Amino acid sequence: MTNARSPDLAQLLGQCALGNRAAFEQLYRATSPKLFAIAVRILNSEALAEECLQDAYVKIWHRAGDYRPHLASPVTWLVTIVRNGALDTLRRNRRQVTLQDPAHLEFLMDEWNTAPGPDGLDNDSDRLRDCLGQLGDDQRRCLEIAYFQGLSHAEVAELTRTPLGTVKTWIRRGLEQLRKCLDV
Amino acid sequence: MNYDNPELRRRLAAEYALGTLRGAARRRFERLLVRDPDLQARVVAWEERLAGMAWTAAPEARVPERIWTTVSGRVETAGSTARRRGLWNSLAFWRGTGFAATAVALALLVLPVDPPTRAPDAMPERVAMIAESGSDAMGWVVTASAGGQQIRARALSPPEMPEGEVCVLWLVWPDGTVRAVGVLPEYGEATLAMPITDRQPYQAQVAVTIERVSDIPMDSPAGPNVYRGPWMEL
Repeated sequence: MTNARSPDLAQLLGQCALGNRAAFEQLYRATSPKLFAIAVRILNSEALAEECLQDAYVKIWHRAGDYRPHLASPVTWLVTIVRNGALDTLRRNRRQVTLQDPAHLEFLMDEWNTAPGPDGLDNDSDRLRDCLGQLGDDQRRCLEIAYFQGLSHAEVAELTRTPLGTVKTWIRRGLEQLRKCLDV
Repeated sequence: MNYDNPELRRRLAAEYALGTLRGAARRRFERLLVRDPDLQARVVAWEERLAGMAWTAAPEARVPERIWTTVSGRVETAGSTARRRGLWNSLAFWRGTGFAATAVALALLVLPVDPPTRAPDAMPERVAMIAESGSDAMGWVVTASAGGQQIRARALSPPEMPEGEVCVLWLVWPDGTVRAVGVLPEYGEATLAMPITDRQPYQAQVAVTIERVSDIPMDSPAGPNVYRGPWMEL
């Protein structure tokens, strides 16, 4: 699911590594709407997400030469940079763990998400959406919290007021189910 | 724990990528990850799945134009100069990003090149013999072929590393440009991925630093430099 998905983004990253500014702007235009949404999702603040996105793209420009197209899809590489930066900010700013607006947690299944991304991602996206839809609500919610808030089992348990053993089981089964569904 | 159990390997790789594997279990897993290509592939597959889901699920948000203005300005002023300046010994770009950066950075550095995409082995053109200064024992032989696009490292008698530390191979150009090539294997042979760059790999010097597994930098070394020398022509 990784190789055919974004040949254009890989090419743009390659151009960025060679110092091509026009390619960098193209990459930014193609990817910033989604990456901004991910930063907002993690930070729960547009102001913080703006800063995060700025830092992320400066980093992307400087580190484009480190991208290895045969080891990760461009999307994975870009999402990882944004998520790492956002989680760092979150850790610096987090005084205590607070439950986000529950409506926010429906993010993954939101109807906004029917918009196709660049580069003909539709098949992969449909598959991902189907597989997410097959998860139990609790499983999906725990996975989202762990991924988007960078929390441990114990922190997810505290946040959701669920016994630790239950959270571990939900996460383990959720991951297992996702893998089976996606790898079919 | 029996790390040969396929069920356990699957689960640990998934929880590592998700970020829920913590503490001593995480450190043990990372030590294993450095020399286990199968685990590396599993972690990378999970990074793909999770990032893919985050991307798929994200709406196309309206991005304020001032973000691009700022980015473009920062790249303009910092880009051409800071990039070309000597990065050796400067602070690691990734330092401070903490554990979240680990999986992809590590996996990207150590994952062997995928066999189907690898060109047929070419004759080695350059070689670097890596020995710790003050030591008689040869640690690794690193060979390069195909104009530097294929780099292989074979462990001879590498130094024993403290837990959680590895030797990382770098290329250093005369103008100070530095690129990470990969983690040198503890034993056996590893194929390392040449970073994308417009530089001639053979004009660079080869260098080795000791880095923490949990925080491998890719932009510039953070740990002590233990070797530096030129390629030798074969």
